[in-house]
Amino acid sequence: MPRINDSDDERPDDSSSDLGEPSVPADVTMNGGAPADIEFDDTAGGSVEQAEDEEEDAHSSKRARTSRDGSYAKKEKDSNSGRRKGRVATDENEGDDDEGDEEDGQAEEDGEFEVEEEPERKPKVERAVMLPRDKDGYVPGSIVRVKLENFVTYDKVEFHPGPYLNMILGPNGTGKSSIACALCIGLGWHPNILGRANELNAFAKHGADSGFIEIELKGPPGKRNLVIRRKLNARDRRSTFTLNGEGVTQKDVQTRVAALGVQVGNLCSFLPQDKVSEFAQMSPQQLLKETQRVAGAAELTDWHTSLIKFDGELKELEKENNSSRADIEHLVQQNSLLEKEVKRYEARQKIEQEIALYELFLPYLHYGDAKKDYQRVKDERSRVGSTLKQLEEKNAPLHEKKTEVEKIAAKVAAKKKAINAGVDQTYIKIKRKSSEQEQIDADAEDLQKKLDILKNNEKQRKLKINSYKRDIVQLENEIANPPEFEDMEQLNKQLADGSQVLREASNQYGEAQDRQREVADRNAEYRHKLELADQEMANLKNKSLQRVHTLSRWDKDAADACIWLRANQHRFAAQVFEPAYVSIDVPDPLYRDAVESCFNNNQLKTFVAQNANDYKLLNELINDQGALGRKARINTWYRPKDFDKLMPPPMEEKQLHALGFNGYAIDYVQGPDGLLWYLQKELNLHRTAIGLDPSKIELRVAIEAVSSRESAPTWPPPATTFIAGRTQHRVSRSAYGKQLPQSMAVNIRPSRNFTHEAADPSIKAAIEQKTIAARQGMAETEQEMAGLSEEAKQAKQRHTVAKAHQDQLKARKAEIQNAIRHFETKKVKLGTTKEKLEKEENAPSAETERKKLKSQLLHFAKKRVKSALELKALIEHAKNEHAQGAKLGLEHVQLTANVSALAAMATAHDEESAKIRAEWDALVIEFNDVKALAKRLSEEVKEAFDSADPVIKEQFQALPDEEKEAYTVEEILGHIEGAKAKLELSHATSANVVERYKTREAQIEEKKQRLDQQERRAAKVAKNMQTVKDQWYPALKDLISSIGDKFSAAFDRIGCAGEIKISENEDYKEWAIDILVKFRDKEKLQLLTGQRQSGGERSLTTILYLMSLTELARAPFSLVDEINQGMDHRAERAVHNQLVEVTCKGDSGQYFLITPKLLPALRYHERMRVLCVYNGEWLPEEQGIGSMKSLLDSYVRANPGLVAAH
Amino acid sequence: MPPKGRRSRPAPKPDPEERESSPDEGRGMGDSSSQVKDFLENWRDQPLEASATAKLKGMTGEWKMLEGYVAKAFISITEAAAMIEEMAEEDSEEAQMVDQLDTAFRELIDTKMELSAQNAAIEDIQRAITQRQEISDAMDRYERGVKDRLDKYQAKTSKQKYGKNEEYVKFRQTIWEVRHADEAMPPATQFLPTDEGEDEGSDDDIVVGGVKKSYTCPLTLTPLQKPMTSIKCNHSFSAHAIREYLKSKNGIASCPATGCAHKLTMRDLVEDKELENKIKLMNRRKKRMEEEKDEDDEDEVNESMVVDS
Repeated sequence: MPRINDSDDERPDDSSSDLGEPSVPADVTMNGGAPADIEFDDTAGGSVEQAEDEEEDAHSSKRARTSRDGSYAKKEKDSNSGRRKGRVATDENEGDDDEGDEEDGQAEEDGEFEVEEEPERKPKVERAVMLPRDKDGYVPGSIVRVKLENFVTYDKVEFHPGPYLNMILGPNGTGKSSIACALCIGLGWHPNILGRANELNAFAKHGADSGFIEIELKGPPGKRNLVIRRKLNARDRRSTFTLNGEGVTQKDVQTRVAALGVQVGNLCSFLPQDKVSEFAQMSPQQLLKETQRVAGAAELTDWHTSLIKFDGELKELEKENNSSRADIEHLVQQNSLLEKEVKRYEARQKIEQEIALYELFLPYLHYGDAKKDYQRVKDERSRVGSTLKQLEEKNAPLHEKKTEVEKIAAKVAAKKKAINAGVDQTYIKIKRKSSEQEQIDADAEDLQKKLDILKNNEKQRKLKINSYKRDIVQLENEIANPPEFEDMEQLNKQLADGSQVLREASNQYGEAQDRQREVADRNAEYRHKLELADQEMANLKNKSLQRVHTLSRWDKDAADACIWLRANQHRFAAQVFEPAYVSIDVPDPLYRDAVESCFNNNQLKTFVAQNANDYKLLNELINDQGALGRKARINTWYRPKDFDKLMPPPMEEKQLHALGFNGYAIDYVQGPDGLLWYLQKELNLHRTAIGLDPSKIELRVAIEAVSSRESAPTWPPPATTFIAGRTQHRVSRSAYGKQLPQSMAVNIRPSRNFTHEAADPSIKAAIEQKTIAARQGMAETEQEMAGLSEEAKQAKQRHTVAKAHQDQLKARKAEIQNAIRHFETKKVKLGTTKEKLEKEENAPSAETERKKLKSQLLHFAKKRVKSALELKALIEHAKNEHAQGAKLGLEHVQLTANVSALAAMATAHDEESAKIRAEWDALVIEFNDVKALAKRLSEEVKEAFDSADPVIKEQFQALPDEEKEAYTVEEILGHIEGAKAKLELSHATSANVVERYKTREAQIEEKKQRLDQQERRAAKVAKNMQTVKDQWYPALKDLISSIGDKFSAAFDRIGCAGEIKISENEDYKEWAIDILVKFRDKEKLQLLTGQRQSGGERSLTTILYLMSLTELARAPFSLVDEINQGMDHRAERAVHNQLVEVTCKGDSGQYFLITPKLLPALRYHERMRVLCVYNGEWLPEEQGIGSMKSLLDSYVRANPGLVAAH
Repeated sequence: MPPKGRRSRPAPKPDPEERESSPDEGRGMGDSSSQVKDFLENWRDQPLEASATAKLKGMTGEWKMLEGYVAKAFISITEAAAMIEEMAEEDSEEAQMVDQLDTAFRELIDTKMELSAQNAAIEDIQRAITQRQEISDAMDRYERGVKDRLDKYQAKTSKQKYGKNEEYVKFRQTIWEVRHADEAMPPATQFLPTDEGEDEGSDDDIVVGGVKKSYTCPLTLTPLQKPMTSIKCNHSFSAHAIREYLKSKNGIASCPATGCAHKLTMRDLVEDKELENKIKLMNRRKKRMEEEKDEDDEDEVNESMVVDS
């Protein structure tokens, strides 16, 4: 059982607070180490035995408990210190407390400030400071308690590491490294830091559902401890955190832990077993980085980082600048090529400007000319205007007169128009009168017509009256003598009787029909049955036909002959039988083989006739005449029937059975009766005994029996065949010699031809029976139907008679009803006729009517007279209007003549002024034109000026006006021509080229500016770099030299030499720490590389380097797992001593050293705590049993000298 | 009124051509202004222009239209008179209306006369202008022309005025036929009053013997059916008859009426609605008279008397 003994603490060192350490984010740790296999022992529980001082017992709850699976976890209080210097330790602890108190007081505020504030501001770059040691000796952030449940190998364990060096001891596989794992995972880091299993659930104990890790971290001074519990799930990767019992996220935990300066990700402070080699493999550059991170001030890393960054930037800038310079150079060169062209272009431009200037002159001069014209025309206009005015005044009276007369004429015209309008109005009235009269005429005409027909109407009336009177007399007569009507009651009675009779007849007829139907149904049923039977028969025949088909494969002639025979059977006197193959069945399959063995192939397909003629005919038809339509040959057979001559069976039936035979072959054959003759005569089937079971047959006896004297009426008897089992025996007696029976045995073959299922003749018989029954039924029903039909006929006859009678009665009734109705209408007609008569008689007389009409006509005539007179008056009115109109018209004609005369006079006199006016009009037009031209030209000038190049404009304006006006348009045009000619002479440089030149010029300028900027920036960066370097380099040098001192000292102590130095480089990335070591006196100091030194030397170097760092690094706790592997005892011892020295100093942090082995007589320090891991099946359940402490105590008690000796 | 300078030839002042040759021409404006002054001071009506004839023609056209209405009014009065004559009891108050209408008819004849006088006066002026007479007193001429004509007409006696007036005779004829279908009408003068101082019978030669208008077609010798009347000779025929007749004569033939020598074509024949109407009325009257006669002796069933119109 391995165990860890722990020893105790030292006093804390206050210097810790200055030098903080950057927290290392988890991802910085080196990955890539394959996770080492951990051997878990399923059955073994695990526990950490913890030995500690008595008073620490007061911390109470640190007690391993019994695990579920029955293994033990046991806490043992024991330690080297307890054994040796427990008391001193206690004292020192107390002392620590006191000192811690004071320092706590001083550092508290700073510490708190740092912890609480910094992580919130920038949790990643934040730097933890080792907080001052608390009274109990623990530095905040160090681990006070660890409790594991169902974690890897542990069922349940709880232990309390000491505040200084903790040696965790135990044999391989007991779970030392699990403790490292627990710390890492428990504090919220990813397991990949460990280089072991990556899956969280792999850390839960095998077989358990879940486990947890609980770690109590020392809280900041005055604050409670942090109890972090991480619950692990065996089934999935999920895990939950609680902090002081409250659920938190992983991130929260990491933040809180980092706030205490815990750096699990930092290899210098947390170096699990599997990472040791990685550390050793670190490149010098990495080493520098890590070293800075662990031991240096935070700025150190920052500075370095920014130096690297600046360096990169600077290089980048330099590169850019160089390329910019090249660019500029290139551009300048290109432009120098274009320079000549550009100059030419500029010369051209000058000429062009000249042209532009002259062109500006053109509108200016044009405008000047126009302005002069304008003035001239204006003067002319005013002169002509005054002349015109004079002239026009002279003719004014004439015009006035003309206007006056015109006015009068217009008035007259208006009057005339009014008169005309009046006349039109009158005409309208006249027309209206005309139509009024037409209407009166039409109305009068209507009356006249009425008058015309009046007489006629009167005559009609009289005729009507007479006719009505006659009708009335006749109708009254008829009504008075009503006709005799037949007695309805009697008739109705007869109808009722008739209908009764009809109903009965109808019923009888219906019943008869029902009966007929019923019989017909039955008949149909029989018919149906017959059809079914026929169908079945057909099916049956079809089967036999199939057999014929099979036959055709074997012998086509025989098969076709069968088919032919079926159609031609009638040509033969007796039935000709089809071959045995078709017509013979062996219903019992057991006998088929035996029976078939009695036939040869020809016998199977032989047609059998029953008399000689048929035999002949058959041969003739088929074999000779080719009735099958081709040449064919079939076997035929006929022998006159004579059963008496037939050889009897060889044995009586009784004997047959006695010999073990079942029967004769003929018994098992089924076929047409006529064919029996053939089977017996030709094939002797009635003589062929068959025994299925050969064992029952005594062959010798059987042979004797079938060839006995009794077996046949002849001697020697004919050869006889019998079948025993599957053997056919042919027995014969020689006609000579002893006449002994001879037998020949042949094995029979399985039946091939009689395999088909036999057509059961009973089925055929049944079908035939059905057919007969159906036919009979049909016959009966048909007879029945004949009888019924007569019956129905009679019933129908009766029904017809009854119906006719009834119809007759109904017709009579209808007749009578009609007559009555007719008589009734006469009465109505009499009434209406009387009414009509009355109406006609009371109608007004023709005379009255005539008078009325005449008076109406007179009235119309008067109206007409009145209208005619009015018309006449209107015409007179119109006449008067006309007279007036005529006068006005004449007057107007006269006035028109007057106006014309005046106009003629005026025209004559106006001619003169008209000339002047034309002149005036022309001038007005010219004036307008000139004015417009001047205006337009002035606008053109303005336009030209507006669009002119400002330079040219200025040039132009600078010229004095006199000089400008001195030019003529022609001169200017001449100048322009000249300049243009010059232009044509010079080659036109493309504006494009100039454009390019200018663009490039601009580019060069821009690039130069940018380059300037960049260069300034580079200078700035270089300056910054220098500044940073000035800070970084001395600090780094200090750091490395302080580490180096410690490192060298450590090497000195172990009798070797080692030093570290900074390997400087142009590239800051490449700055590195070189470790130089010398393990042997003869050697020189050599660079530590991955190859040069042995593994042990490397480990040693690494641990020594780490320890040197540890002295500077201020992590609350550090952990190194099995660093001593591969070291020889000398080195290990040296390292151990070194470790103890370093980690048990008052200012050291908590330190875990995990190792499976321990050399004897190592140096011990009171502050150490040794933790032994016990792990196994046999841990005692009881508390205290097997406690190492008690064991040690008893050991010490038994060997008091030991303590003293040490 | 656009001045047609060049054409105003009959100006009292020298025309421009003359003026051109005058010695004053082109010298100052004094002369021309005095011309203007003279012209205005001696202002009077100017002679009518030739273009005036068109206008005058327009005026006479208007009269023609009115004359058409007058003709219609003649018929209207005639029909009204016939109606009264037929409907009113003899010597009844209503019968007097015929006289009233007679007066109106004659007044209408006077009106027609007046119109033609006016028309003639205008036509006189028109003619004068056409003959290039200088007419600067058109109004006077017109009024004088009308007056002269009317004076002449007024001087006539009533019998002179109306006795031979075609319309008037027709008017009286129509009235007459209402009651005297089979009698010839006495001369129209008989219906006219003798004016004061007029010597009765002095106009004997004017008196025309009784007139009986025939309503029989000279071709078919049966009553006229859809009568057509010749505008040349005023003879009437049944439409189908005259059509057939002219067709048989290749479209042109002498009037079939006895003693008429006019050559007729279909173009000379117009449908005579007035006559047709008249015949219709005549027939009716005749029939009615017969009926009234029958009335008396008619007793019982006599249906053979079917009247047809």
